[in-house]
Amino acid sequence: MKSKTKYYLIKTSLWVLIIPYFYGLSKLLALIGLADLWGNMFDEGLIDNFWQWITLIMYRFFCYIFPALLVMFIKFDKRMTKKSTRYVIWQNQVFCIYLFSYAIIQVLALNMIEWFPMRNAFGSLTFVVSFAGYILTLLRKEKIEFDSNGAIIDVEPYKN
Amino acid sequence: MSLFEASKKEKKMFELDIKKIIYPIEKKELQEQVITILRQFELSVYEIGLKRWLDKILYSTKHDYYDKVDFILKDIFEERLKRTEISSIKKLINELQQAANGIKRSNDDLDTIFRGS
Repeated sequence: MKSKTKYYLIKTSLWVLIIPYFYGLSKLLALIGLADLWGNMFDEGLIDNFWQWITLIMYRFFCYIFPALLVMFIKFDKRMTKKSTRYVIWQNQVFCIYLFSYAIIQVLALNMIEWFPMRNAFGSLTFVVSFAGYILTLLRKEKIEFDSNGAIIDVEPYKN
Repeated sequence: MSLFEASKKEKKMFELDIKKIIYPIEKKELQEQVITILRQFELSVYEIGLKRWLDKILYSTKHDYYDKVDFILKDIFEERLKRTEISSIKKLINELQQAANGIKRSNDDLDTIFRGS
């Protein structure tokens, strides 16, 4: 399989699977009773114990960081030898999908519709994106573009 | 009305409390659960055979959830509700609330999780 085909296959899979993954993960956590542990944490704006804090951080990690870490292991181009390079590419994709979904929720005012299940989703997304951007820029000392396919300057992006 | 009977206002308030719980329910299984609970309560109130038989025939003509629950509630609250039966009405309200919360709870839990994202 051509590297370009592989790239588009992974990209398409991400676009198709990431929101069901996000929803499924949240549903699973709701089923195992994480909401009971969290209680009124968000209404009060206070975390009472360590377990509330660590589960919240882990949830955010599995939502935003883990998918890219997983896809990072798939080699799709011989030029992209470093895992970190592939990680940045897929992390950008993941953020792009989430930001796009968040924008749809906000623009269509789905966050104001009571029955819409994901109306409160992606509350900390913009902070995660900014934070990840700063960290990655600092660690890799490279310019990073947060768009869909031109992941890193100096590594030739695929053209749509 | 004797002193040992609930007032009309009390009965109407109970009816309103029950309707507030059961009307918003949209899930079919939950609606059936509510009807079963109400029906059981209704049958426990009436002991007269003929009334029960007539009631069964009339009830079979109702097909919509709202018609059914309205019919049962009318039947329950048309009867002379004794003061001693008020506690059982309160129990009924609790039971209905628990049944209604079953679905609300799972949605609320998922919403709490999303708020963490």
